[in-house]
Amino acid sequence: MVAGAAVAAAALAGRYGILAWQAFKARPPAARMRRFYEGGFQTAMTRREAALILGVRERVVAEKVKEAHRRVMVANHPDAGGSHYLASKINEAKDILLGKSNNSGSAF
Amino acid sequence: MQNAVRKAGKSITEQEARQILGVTEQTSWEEIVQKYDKLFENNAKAGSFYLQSKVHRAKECLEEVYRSKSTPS
Repeated sequence: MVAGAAVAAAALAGRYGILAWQAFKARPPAARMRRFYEGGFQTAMTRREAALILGVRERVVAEKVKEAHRRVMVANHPDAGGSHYLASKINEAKDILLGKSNNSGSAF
Repeated sequence: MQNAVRKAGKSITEQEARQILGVTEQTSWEEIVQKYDKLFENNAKAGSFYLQSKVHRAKECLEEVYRSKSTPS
């Protein structure tokens, strides 16, 4: 008789578990706020920072770098309200990523 | 009063903040906010989150500067 009660309890727990899991999955997606990066730019730009600036991975093909560079530059173009400082950072980022991307799998 | 939240090595300077937003020492706060809004929005659409962050930090920094200028301690 005890075994029966245990089975019933397990079944109930299982049922609630499933219901809870479904409710969890069905909850409305909360907009996740990312924390802004701290501070200004690094004194000497690193490959990592360059990748962050262009929004690409560090090991990325030249094609993607140029594409990202174009896109980001348009958003920050000095003629369209951007600053020269940011534009120069973006250019520098492109140069860094293009200069050292020999072994990033680009197919020649 | 020092804002103790920022780590010294990673703090943005007023000079860099002005460079990022493309403003001078003569620029008014209203103009700065305008430039910030534009840059922030442009980068949200087509830039990188990293650049958006820098723009945001630049404005934060200048906000402190202008606030302390208007309220002499």
